[in-house]
Amino acid sequence: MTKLNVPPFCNEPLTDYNDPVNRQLMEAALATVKSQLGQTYPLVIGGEEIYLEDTLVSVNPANPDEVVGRFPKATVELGNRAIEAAAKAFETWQYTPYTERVRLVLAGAELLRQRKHEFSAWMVYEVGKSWPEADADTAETIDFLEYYARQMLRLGAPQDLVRIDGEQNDLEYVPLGVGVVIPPWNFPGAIMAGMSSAAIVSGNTIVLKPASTSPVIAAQFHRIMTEVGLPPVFNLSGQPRR
Amino acid sequence: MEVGLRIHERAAKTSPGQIWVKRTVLEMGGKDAVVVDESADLDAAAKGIVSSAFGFQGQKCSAGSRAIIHERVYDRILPKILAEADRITIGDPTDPTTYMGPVVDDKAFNKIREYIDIGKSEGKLVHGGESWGPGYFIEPTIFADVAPDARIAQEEIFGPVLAVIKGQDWEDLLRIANGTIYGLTGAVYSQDESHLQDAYQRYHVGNLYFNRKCTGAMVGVHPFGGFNMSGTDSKAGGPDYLLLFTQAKSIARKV
Repeated sequence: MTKLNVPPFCNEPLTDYNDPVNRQLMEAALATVKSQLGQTYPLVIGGEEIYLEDTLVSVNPANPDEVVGRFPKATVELGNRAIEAAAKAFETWQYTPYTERVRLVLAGAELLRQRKHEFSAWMVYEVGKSWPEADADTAETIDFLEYYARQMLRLGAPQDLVRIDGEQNDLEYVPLGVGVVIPPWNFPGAIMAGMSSAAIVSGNTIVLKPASTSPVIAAQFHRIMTEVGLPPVFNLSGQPRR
Repeated sequence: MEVGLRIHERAAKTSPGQIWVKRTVLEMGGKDAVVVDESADLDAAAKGIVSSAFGFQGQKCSAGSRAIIHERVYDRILPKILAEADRITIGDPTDPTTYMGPVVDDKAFNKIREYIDIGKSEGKLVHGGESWGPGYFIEPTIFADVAPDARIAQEEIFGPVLAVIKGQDWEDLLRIANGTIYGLTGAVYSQDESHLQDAYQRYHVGNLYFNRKCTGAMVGVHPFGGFNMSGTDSKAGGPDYLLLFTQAKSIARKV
């Protein structure tokens, strides 16, 4: 089993933008994100990136002519494929040692922390959050990953049962299976990543359908989890075409 | 709320070949209130009301879209609320001095403006009410003298619209606060310990705050989720949350 040294949970501090250093970091992040506006993102099903012609266009609500990103509209077939891919991945993911799942989610938190201003900047552009609101959302996103990882360590550890003579007894928390995550757009980082990471760290596999006004933030989070080596247990699907 | 209930209904139906019971974890909104009694620190309460109502343009499930004020302090707190709202800056959120950016899209923009029109017939418009484009900008909007059963006091607007409601006594304040289909967050500003103790028991919300705003739940500190039509009270950021995603298996071995 993976050996983990996990310090106690503490909430990610909020950024003081009166500090010129922080202000500069956020300005740089906004410039970086601005240079990346208008890109096309794929669905990710069973680890495979799928680009489609038919996309929904996510715009900057402060300036609706500015395209933040394009995200594929899915089909019923692709939705089914995503569920099947998640079911397939569940066959092995459910037996992955919980410490390994915890390690991956904590690694995601760490990478997100390194990119926190950029992640916030995406929220400024995609849903119109002010700097402090975006920063709080990013901090909460990091908190959910860190917190649920620790909760899994607690649930994964031996549970306190009544002991009787002549028997060895254990209680294991096992995952349910495939989950569909349908987050709202108003906490496009925190709620999206919170529900996703809770399901994944406890051994489930998921299909995430991002909110139609914040798919790019979901795609950014999906990239982070892929970069830290999360196996294809996290499928990114889309709004059905109507 | 409608979306959540539809998902709940669909998940409850068993498909051919399905051999498990699907679970739903739902968070469906709120019509949250900040209650101010006659003993409250009115400056702190006015700040809390405005911050709860207009942070992220009021687009939070936890947003305090109602302020319920004891009639004895109502006329004194209202100017304080308006003064706080006056200080709000609206504009492009890439500008660090912006407090309120746009609402999320054209659908939200139109829906909120419809509610502002409804509000004009249900209360007295005392602040804001204007909107403009391009970009989906809506002023922080405050209606005073709103009846507890008015539509803008009952329906989740999910935008920068605050309904200020007058209550006659503590019992009335609490009745109005509990008088919606939701039960997500709530705040009470009071220096009266008996009122706080009473709210502790009888203010029926998942996240209750005393002498502070009703938004800004912190992971691990304020496990978040609410009662009634606010959802399944699945406490996100709480120690019970992962249990919703797991099932426990007992294993006994004879030794």
